[in-house]
Amino acid sequence: MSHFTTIRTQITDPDALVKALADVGFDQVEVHQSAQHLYGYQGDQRSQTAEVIVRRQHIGRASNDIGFTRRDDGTFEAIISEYDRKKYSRQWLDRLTQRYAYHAAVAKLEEQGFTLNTEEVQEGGRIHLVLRRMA
Amino acid sequence: MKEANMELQEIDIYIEKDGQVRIEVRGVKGQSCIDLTKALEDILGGEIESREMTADSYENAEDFVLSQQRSR
Repeated sequence: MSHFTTIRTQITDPDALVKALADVGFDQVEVHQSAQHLYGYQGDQRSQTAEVIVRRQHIGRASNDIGFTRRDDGTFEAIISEYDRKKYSRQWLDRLTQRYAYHAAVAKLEEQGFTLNTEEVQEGGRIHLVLRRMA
Repeated sequence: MKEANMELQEIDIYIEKDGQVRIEVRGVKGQSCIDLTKALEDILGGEIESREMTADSYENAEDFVLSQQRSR
C-alpha cells in the first residue's frame, strides 16, 4: 500500500515553532504553559494573550509583541499588530509555517525511528525531504 | 531470520513555500501505511486536503523484500 497525503499545515507544536522562529531570526522566544499578556510598543499591556511570545525589544523599536495563541482545537494563531504586519506579513507567516513543517516533520519521524536521508531545496523554494527506517 | 523480514520504509515529504505539505509513503504493508503518518499529520494540524491510496506498491514492497533475500 502506498499513500499520498496533502496537508494544509497548522502550527500545533511549541517546540517546532520555537525552532522555526529561530530560522527566521528570532532566537529569544518565550514559551508559557498558560497564556500571558502581550505588550505594545509603549509598554502598554494589551488585552491579547499568547503562549508563545516574541517580545517587542527583539523585533523593532516601534514594534509590538508578536504572539502565538493556542486555540481550542490545539492549533496556534499568530497575533501580529497592524503596524508589524508590514514586515511580518502573510508571506512571512508562510515562510514561518514552512520552517515549522520542516522541524515538526523531522522531529516526529525521528521519534518513530526514521532518519533524515536527504534534504534539498527545489526550484521555487519547495523543500524535499527523504526519511528512511528499517522496520 | 528476523532480518530477512525487515523492510525499508521510505517517506518523501515536500514542503511548499506556503507551508503546505505533501507526504508520500511507499513500501509499507497494509494498514500500518496509514498508521505510520497519523502522528505526523497531527503535528501538522491534521487538516488533510487530499489523500490518494494505491494498492500496487503492496506488491512492490513484496518484490523489494524478495530481491533483498535473493541477493544474500
